[in-house]
Amino acid sequence: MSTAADVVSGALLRYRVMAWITGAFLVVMTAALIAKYGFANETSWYAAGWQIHGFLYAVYLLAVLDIAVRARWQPLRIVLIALAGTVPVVGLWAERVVTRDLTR
Amino acid sequence: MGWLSRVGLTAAAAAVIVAFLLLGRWQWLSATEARFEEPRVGVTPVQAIVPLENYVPLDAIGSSVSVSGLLLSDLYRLVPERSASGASADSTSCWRVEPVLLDSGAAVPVVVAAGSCAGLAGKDDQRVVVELTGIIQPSEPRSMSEQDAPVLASITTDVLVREWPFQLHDGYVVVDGITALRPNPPAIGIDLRSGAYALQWWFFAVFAAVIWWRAIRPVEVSVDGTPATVSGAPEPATEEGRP
Repeated sequence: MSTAADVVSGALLRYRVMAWITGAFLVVMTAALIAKYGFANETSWYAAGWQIHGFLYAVYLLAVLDIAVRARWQPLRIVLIALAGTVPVVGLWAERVVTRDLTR
Repeated sequence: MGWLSRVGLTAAAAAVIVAFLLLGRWQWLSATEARFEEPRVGVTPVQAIVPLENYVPLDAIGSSVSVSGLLLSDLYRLVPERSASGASADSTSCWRVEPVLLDSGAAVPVVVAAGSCAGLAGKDDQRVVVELTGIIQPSEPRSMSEQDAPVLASITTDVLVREWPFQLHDGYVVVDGITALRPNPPAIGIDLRSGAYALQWWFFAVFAAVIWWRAIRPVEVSVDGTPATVSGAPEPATEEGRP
């Protein structure tokens, strides 16, 4: 029989996976954005990349909501962690903070 | 949470949710309606219809445009299997595409002639100031086949921008007298990019609604009067994000 801790750890794993996928993808897309507007070098997958990132971010939000419900986060914290996924690198930093808080 | 806080939070959440829903609706309308609008009437300078960094608007495809600038014939490219009538042709028939350099320093690809590929390749390579009219077409999908310069498999902005040393306006112009290819009818009735954005905005609206509900819902209280928590789960976090 799974304990509540197991339930939270499962949600934590899902959140960490999505935080890293979305965060890494956002870093790549930011580099593509700089290449396009800073060096006039647009990649062929630029527009499609942002589309894919949009859907990845939607799944990331579901993972945030999942862990927020199980760990009983305050609404403000949910919003901050959700918004962290929209800023390059900050989403990865937020993942470290969340993991540290829930595993210590 | 006091009733005043609940009302304020509800008002703020409602504003966010409505904004997200409207943004989704706006994207959805542009995804479903723009595709079927009639071409514009009148002749418009091409840069007014297709500003730099913008795609050819769906409702502008097939519209008459004017192009004024320096025709750089020495940078011509040939696109095989094209005819003056717009019908498909064999590989010996070509369109000749040349950039017209506008005063802004950006260029517009223009289909200036149609005929035999050998004949078009041998035409003069001068640079002259021109003022011409034609119809605007969207950038074509990139062809999978590779061709060596000056031959191009398709008139694709992403490809041409690597061929010519200027910024390019999206799409291309077919001068009067040559019939543009009939674009394939859309396989589906919506523009996928705008449709995807619409779905994402609506998802964000649902997410905001869930957050709002979690913020204002009554807290379950256990028999000893403390807020109920999941056994083994961390205590509710504070606003600083720490338990």
